[in-house]
This record gives sequence, structure tokens and C-alpha cells, in this order.
Amino acid sequence: MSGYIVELREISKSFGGVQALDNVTFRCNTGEVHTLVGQNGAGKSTLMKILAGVYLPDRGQVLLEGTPVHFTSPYEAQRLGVSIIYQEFNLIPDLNVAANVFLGREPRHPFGILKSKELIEKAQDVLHRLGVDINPRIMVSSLSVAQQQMVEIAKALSLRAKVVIMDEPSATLGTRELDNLFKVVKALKAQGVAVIYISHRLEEVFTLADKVTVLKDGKLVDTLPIDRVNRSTLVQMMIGSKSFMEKFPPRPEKKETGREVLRIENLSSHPILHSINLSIHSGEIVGIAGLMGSGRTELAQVMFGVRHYGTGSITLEGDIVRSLRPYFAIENGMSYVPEDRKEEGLIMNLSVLKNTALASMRHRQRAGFITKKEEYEQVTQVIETLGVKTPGLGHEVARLSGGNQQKVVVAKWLLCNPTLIIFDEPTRGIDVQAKVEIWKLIRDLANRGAAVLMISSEIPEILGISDRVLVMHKGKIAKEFRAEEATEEDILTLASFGGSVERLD
Amino acid sequence: MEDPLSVLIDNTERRGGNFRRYFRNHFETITIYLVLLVIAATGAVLSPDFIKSQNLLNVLLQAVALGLVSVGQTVVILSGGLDLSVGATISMVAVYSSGLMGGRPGIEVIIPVILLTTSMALVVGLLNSQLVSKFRITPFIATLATGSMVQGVVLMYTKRPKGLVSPEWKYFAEGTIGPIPIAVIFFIIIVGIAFFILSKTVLGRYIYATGGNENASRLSGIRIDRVLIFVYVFSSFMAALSALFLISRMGIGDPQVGGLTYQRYDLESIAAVLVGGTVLGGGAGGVIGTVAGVLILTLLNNVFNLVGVSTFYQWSIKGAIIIGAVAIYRMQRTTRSL
Repeated sequence: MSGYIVELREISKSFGGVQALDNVTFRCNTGEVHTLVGQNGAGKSTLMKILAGVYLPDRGQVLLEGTPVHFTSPYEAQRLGVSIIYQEFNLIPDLNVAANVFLGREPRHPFGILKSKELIEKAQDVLHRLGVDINPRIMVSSLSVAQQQMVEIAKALSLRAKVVIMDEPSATLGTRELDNLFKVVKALKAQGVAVIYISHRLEEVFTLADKVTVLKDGKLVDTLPIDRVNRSTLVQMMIGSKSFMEKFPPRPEKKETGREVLRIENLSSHPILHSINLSIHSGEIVGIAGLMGSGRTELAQVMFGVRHYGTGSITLEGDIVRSLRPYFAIENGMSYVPEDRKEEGLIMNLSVLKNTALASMRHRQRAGFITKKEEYEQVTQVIETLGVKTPGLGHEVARLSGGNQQKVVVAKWLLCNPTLIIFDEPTRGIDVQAKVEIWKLIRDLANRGAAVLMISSEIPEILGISDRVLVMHKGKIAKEFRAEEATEEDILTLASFGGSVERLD
Repeated sequence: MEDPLSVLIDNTERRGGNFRRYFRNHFETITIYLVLLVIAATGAVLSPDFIKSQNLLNVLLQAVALGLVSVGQTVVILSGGLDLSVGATISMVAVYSSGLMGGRPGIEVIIPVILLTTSMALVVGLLNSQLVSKFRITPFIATLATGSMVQGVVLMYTKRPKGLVSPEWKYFAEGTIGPIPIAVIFFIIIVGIAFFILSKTVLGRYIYATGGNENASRLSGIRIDRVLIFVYVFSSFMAALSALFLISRMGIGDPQVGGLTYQRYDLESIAAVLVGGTVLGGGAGGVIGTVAGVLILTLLNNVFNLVGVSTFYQWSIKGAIIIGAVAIYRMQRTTRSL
């Protein structure tokens, strides 16, 4: 007997040649809150999905209460007492809370007739055990996100879960809701449930955890009781010492800022953005670091006119603009490489040619007609310049690799000759080779006089590419750095705790 | 190291490609025309009357009304929408045109009446586009509702066939150039124009892009609201042309001609578009496939009538063919995307 409720022994897992987990061992006790931290791509979610039966490990063993198990589906893991709560809930909005909690396990009379009263009572009981005040008769669609999360947790508890995994449960919650979540986590703990809590927000780790495990680049850094770490050691463990600065393109020597292309003053958009001030000059790359939910993507959307804002002003090339629209933004030299290229960047069923040509069509048109020869020449040229690997321009973009798809999005904007280009997570989900090429491209754009704004969760990327770095935390700009002055540790600390927290030594 | 340029661009695409590539890119269109040929061949075997030129010209003429409205429907569906109001719009243009002409002769009667009734149709299209783009009502509900409103207006105007077309207007459906009916030539020209808009203009490209991914299109600077105004107004305009053809053929405007009775032009046009290979939801397809879809549906009616299949069977068989066609496209697309 190992004595642990969960033991993951020497787990390895790779996806298409990328080693997501390398020989990771993880143990968790009954009635323990165990937080799992690490930067993006550290392997936290992969490890937990193995425990929850979503993935099978390539090597290693999963033990539940000391017995080796082979989960082949999340359903089986759930049946044996492992429940996972994702950021996206699996609730049916038009059923009430009780029906959702006991979905598929409803108490019933013969012939499948529901015992409605018992259903409500049982749901009431589960919610009560969690200390949650939600009426089980209410429709899930009328609940807040935080309440829906409670329903998910109640569902896990009603399944007699011994282990509850929460994947960044706090990402979408406000402060008061967060307190409630903490209470519920403690209630689970009091019931003897082991809670594994994935989080980016380090402050929560110290509020909640009994133990903390740090992963980095798919490897275990360490597992420690919470009283053996402090903020700075934790940040240090997450960052590690390895640096891959050498892959980033060199910054140019001369450093005089060009003209101001965009200025944002006192911009607020309740409840997401608060008094944002920033300005971007031609020829420079401004990096925005911040956690998911910090408002970084929303800020980009406001700049590009996708999202309305409340108060404040945006000045573009010296003119104040009030109602921005993507069309207008593009006409005025802006480009936007969005976070989600499949949903927002590309028309997946159209060809490389048509996608690349799309944003700049009106500049090539003659009396509304497509000038096919010009289009073909321009697209060919930009596709060659960027080294997009495609069997032909008529190939559907859906069938290209992620890196090549991202290059098509960039190619589309290059044909518009942008003076300001916004990149939101430019290298997410693409291979290392393509990453290096995109980085070089971003630098080239700045060298040719474009103003570049780059949002990224990858702190090394922010530091390696940007000339200036803004760190966002809870909708505010926590601090601005010159890139050479900032360290990974500074940025991670600010993004996790905000600017109000004293620097720790 | 491989030479990067050699793998980048496949030069065969520049010249429109070789036969194999052409075949692959237009696989669906080719398939549907083959189906059309099979149905025609079956008709020829089953009934000696089928291949008589009189019958074939008649089929073509019958195809014009459904064809015109289906061309409009194609453009709406390509943009990601749907237009269920075309049936009622056809009825409206038919009764008002015939009622206002009142059998009076002369171009000075015909032109103002047509301008007026066509404008009424365009208003319906404009309304549809605004409901969809400004009020964010799904096209299904928006056009179902406007269609219902329009049909109400029609029935308030008259419950029975009304008026009489100007004698000259009969020429539209009955006139011929050589052996070919003028209306058929007119239809071919309309198909040509639609094909041209969809493949050669910026607007056409925007229609495909909007249907493929509205969000990404907006973020690429396409003004979706303008695209939608075009597609819905164009669809209503095609419905108006359909109506004008129908009254020319029948001589009178029937308040139920567009869809309350036997042939529902709203659903039938959607069926023709889908049989023709355009995807419900938008982004892929085109008018050339729709022409085949229209001919298939019309030919089926014709062959059934010649052979003497009862209308009840006709309905069921038609339904089966629509399901079959769409299922085949679905399978082709799933296997190709793997």
C-alpha cells in the first residue's frame, strides 16, 4: 500500500513528436489540496487528463488507492472516483440544477418515471454538503458562471468522487466568487476528497494549497509542502534557469523611436479594462504580458474595433477615433493576427490564395472586379517570402499545418502594408521552426517601420521579441518595462500578483 | 536542402490546371450533371415522348421559374443565410403586377407596373437583410416571418387570381428566338451574370468568405452588413423575375402561385440549391450546380407525368432524391477532409 489516493508513476506522453510529459511522478493524499503550477506548455493539463482518463500515457503507471488502473475513458475514471472540472462546463442550460447534478443517474420509478421530489432532495443535500446556496429547481442557464461551476462541483461530489481535478477554476471568476470557490474547495477537503487544483494565479496557491507541484517543459521540478516555498522560490522554480534567447532575432542597434502611431488614454471598458494608457511608435515592438482573463485580448479587440469601449480615447496617426470598426481600422493601416486562427483568422474551407488575398482585395479591385493576375502575383510573392509550405495556392487552408496556417494569416496582412500590426499569441500551437520564423518576421516588420503590438502568454517570447513590455493584471497595466530591464521573474510576479504587491527578494 | 521555391508553387494551377485537378476541384458539379444525364436517359428509355424537342423545350421553360428564384437562393445560401420569403414574394409580385396591369395593353402600362412591383420585392429583401445583420435574427426566423407578413398582404389584396397581364407581356414566356424560348435565353443570361458576380468580382469573393466564416471575414475588413444587403435584395429580385415569368405564362396573378399550394418555391428552391451541391451554412457551391439541381427536380416531374406516376409517389421519390444527393455530398466531403 502506497497510502496515496492518487499516484502517477513516471508518466511520459508525447504528441506528434513533442514531448508533453517526461517521466513525471505525482502523488496526492486523501483530504489534500494539491496545486499544480507551471507556465504554458508545462504539461499540467496533459498530466491531469491522463489521470482523468482522457489520454493514455505512453509510459508509466496510474495508481488509484494503491491499485494500478487503466482508464480507457473519462467515464471509467469518473466511475472509479476521479472527476475533472474543465473551464468549459458540461451542463445543459435548459435543465434545472438538480437534473444536471444527477444527469443519467436520476432516481426513478419503474418504467423510467422520474422521482422528481427525491431528485430535488438529493440535489439539495449535495449542495448543502458543499455549503452552497443554490436552489436546485432553478434553470442552469439563469446561473452565473461561478454558480455553474458550483453545480459542476456538486455533480462531482454526487458521483462520490475521491479525487476532484479543477483546471484553472478561477480564470473566469471575480474576487467575491473566488472566496466562495475557496470555501467549496475547503468543504470538499473536509469531506475527505483530494482536490488537485491547476492554477496560473500564484496567490491562490498560498491561500489554498497543502502541497504544490511545479512542472516545467513537461518535467517535474519538485513537489513541496506549501510552508516550504514562498513566492519568489515558486516563481524561480517555474522559470528555471534555461534560456533560449539565442533563437530570437537580434534587436537593431540604433534606438530612436519613430512617430507615434497609436495612443490610448484612460481607456476603460467595464468590467474588463480599467484606465489603460499606452502608446506605440513606428519601428518598435511593444509586448503585452498577462494571464488569461487579464484583459489583454480584449484590449487588442478594442484597438481593432471588434469590441466597444466605455470611456477614454484612442488616437490613431494623430486623429482621435471614436467608433472604430475592423473595416475602418484596416483602412487606417491596422492589422490584427488574432489568437484563434481557425475561428477568427482564416476561412478554413477556402484556398490559400483566397485567404491571403482577402483583406487587401479592395486595393487591387478595378470597378469591383478581381484583378486575378495581380492577385496571383502578389499572393505568390508573399507566400514565397514567408516560406509557406503548400502544395499549391488552390489548396484549402484547413489542410495546412498550424505553422503554415499562421503564416497565411500573416501573409494576408502583409499585403495590406500595415503601419500598426497586432499579434495575439502569434506562436501558439505551432512548431519551433515556425516559431523562429514568425519571430523573425515580427522583427522585420518593425525594422521596416511598422509599429507592432504583441500579446503573449510565453514570457520568454515577450522578453525576446519586445522593445517595451507592458504587464497586464486584472484589466490594468500593472507596469511598463524596457525589455532589457525586465526579467522573467518580474513579469511573472506582476502578471500573477499585480502591481500592488511589493517586490519580493 | 530542397529548393524551397519548387515545393511552394505548383505551376499547373496558373493555367487552370490539368484535367485531373479540374476534375477534383469540380467533383461535385460533375457528379450532379452525371446524375442529371442518368435521369434524362431513364426518361428517354421509359417514354418515347420524352426526347421529342417539344417536350424538352417544355421542360426548359418549366425550369425557368424555379431556376430564377433558385439562383437568388444560391447566393443567399452561399453567404451563410437562407431565404424562406421568396415564395410569398413571388405571389406578391404576381398578383400586384397582374392586378395593376388589368389587361391593358402597351409598354407604357407594363414598365411602370413592373418597376413598382419589383421595388416592392426589393423592399422585402432589404428588410430581410436588416433583420439578419442589424437585429441579429437568424435568417430562418427572419425570412419565415417576413414571408408570412408578405403572404398576409397578398391575401388582403386578393384571395382569388386577380387581374390580367398586358397582352405584350405574354411574349416573355411564349416568344421564341428560332426554336429557343426567349425566357430560356433570359435565364441563361441571368445564370451567367450570377456566375460572373460570384467568381469574378470582389463582392462574390466576399459572399463566399462570409459564408465560410463570418467572424474571420469581419476581422479581414469585410463589411458583412453590405454583403447581406446584396444577397437578400438579389434573392428578392430573382423572386420578382420568377413571378413576372409566371404571370406571363399563366396570364393572371394567383395569390398562391409562390407557395401556398402545390409548388412551394421557397422550399423547392432550397432543395434545388442543395441538390446542386451548395452547402447549407454557406461558403461552398455555386450557381452552375444549382442549374443542375433545378433541371433534376423539373425533369423528375416531367418524367413522372409522362410515365404516369401518381403525384403521391412523385413527392416521396423527390424527397428521397434530395436526401440521397445531400448524403452523397456529405460523404464525399468527410472522406476528403480526412
